[in-house]
Amino acid sequence: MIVSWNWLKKYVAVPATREEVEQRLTMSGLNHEKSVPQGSDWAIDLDVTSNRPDCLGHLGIAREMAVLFDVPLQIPQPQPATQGQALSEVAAVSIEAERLCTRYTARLVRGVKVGPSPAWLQDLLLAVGINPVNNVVDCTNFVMLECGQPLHAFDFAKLRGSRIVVREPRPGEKLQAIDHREYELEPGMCVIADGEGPVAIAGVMGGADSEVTTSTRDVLIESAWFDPLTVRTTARKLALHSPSSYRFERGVDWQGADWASFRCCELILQTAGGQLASGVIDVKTVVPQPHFIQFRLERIARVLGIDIPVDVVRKTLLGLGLSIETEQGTT
Amino acid sequence: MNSVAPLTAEGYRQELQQLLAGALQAFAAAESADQLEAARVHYLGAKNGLFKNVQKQLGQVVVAEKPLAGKHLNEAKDQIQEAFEQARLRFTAELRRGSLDPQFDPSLPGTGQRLGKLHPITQTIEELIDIMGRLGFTPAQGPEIEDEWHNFVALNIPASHPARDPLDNFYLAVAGRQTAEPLLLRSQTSTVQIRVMEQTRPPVRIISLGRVYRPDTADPTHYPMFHQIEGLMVDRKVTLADLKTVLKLFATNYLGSKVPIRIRPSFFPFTEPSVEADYFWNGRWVEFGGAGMVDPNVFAAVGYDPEEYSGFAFGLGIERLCMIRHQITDIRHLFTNDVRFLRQF
Repeated sequence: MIVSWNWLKKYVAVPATREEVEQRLTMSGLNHEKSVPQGSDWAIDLDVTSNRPDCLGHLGIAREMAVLFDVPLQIPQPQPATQGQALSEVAAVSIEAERLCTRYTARLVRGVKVGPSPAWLQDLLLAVGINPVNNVVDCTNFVMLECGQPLHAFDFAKLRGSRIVVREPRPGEKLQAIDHREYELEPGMCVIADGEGPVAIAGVMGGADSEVTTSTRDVLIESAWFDPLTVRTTARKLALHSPSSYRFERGVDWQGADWASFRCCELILQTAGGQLASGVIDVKTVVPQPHFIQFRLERIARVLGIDIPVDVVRKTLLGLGLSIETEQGTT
Repeated sequence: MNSVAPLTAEGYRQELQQLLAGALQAFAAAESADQLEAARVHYLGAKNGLFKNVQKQLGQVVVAEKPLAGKHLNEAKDQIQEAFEQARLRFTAELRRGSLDPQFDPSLPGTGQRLGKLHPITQTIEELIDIMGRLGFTPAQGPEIEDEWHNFVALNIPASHPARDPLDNFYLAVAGRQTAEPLLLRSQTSTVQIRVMEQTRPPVRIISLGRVYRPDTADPTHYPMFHQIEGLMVDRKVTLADLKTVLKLFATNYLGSKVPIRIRPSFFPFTEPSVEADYFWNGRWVEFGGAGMVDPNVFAAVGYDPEEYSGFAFGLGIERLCMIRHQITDIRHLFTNDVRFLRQF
């Protein structure tokens, strides 16, 4: 995971140099490989182990920094204005592959003016090695690199029947992806289809026909949760790996899908103009239950061989975004 | 003594013919290089050889006929020499063995046998066994062909884990054995830990060493077969602090007393928490292995009570340790089996 030093500083103000931060991150599990200057910025290369998909976005790394240096984490609160006809009146989403996709959110931004992104956005993307495409696509990439939730923007006019169907491919279905190569799909994979056929390989790559171009007026923003194993086997079979598949394979925050969608629409309004249709289509097939973990304080010394004061434990867990339900015997 | 009557050239020639006939017969009759040599000394010996005697008689030949007699002498000498050389060829092989080579000097030092050496990997393994043995760890071994239970399941690696991808492992073709469960070349020596724990009760203190196999393309730091050493210690009240102590003692013994080490958080399915161990070498931290506290799920798989027992495990790449020690920069050198490379260790 390559992160931008300037980007991280949007969310957290640490009283330390970049080198100190790299050192602390290494010693807390995000091994620092190297840092490369990028203009006035630095590209910091960190190893993220497979159990920490939450650190596949700048906010996740910033959260670690906030806890390590005991400073607040500033999470953006998107509040874009909505206008016009409600989304549910002009579009529909259905999930047929209920196990492969447990949540699909869609929002619609009408009347965008597709063009180059502003310099600040291009600079941040370039710093982490992502080539700017246009303001809409850059916003989806920015939000993915911000929070770890991959997003996709469809040219709404190209979605036949104005609908999204999440399903397995039918035998013989093919899709030309945005890399302009044709992929043969097969049952067991998961695709995003419109009223007629596949328009994206779920969680892996979008299709060329519905991609956002300079003639695009209305964009439908997808923010969804796809089954990790399905995304991995699909990406492997098609030999098609993307920053999106990388994150879905490791697990994306089911709860965060709507925030990411909202955040992306806000940025599109800022950089490409247009109007956000009111409402969201948010289809859920399985709602994951929160995990409750019994944390036995006496195990710390038994496993680690050192004592950690209870207030440090409490502060660390809360800082990482967990909530403590009950405490017993910690006076 | 022989001055009674002067010899004629003809008489001298007859004398020579007699000698020649005797010599030819003796050379032909020789049955060994030794016998031939005895015959040579008898006829051609430099001091008392018969030919020498006849040569001396040349002085008794009448003066006028001396040139002719001399010519006879030279002809005879050539013939005897020729006969000897011919006879000698019959025993060339025997002579080559040196026993009778006139140039053989038994007082010279012999040509030494080239001695073989232990492979640098074997040397490293022996040293590691020795170091860990002093810390109370006993070597354990297991099969290189493993089942999925020992290579994955018992190690808390579920079917959905990327490490189980068939393309990342050497699965065996088991055509005709459809009922049998899949087999693979082990991808880690942790399999031995499972086998040992399945068969013994705590306390356990073992190291497992051996070859592991992963379908990596060979390059300076990767090879599809390499060696691992894994340590496992299970008992009541074993902690991460004990792990760090053992790793420190190990590094001190193998790399030198002043080598600092550190551990930092990492992730492996079979340990929780997991760490990477680094040592400080040439001004930077170098990774030397993964380790951690045995995951309670692994204990459950082998029938240990995770509430009663705790333990640590660590795994180190033997090639990496060997290469650091000897400043080898390409792992492939270790397996090319070039004697010019191997004899240096």
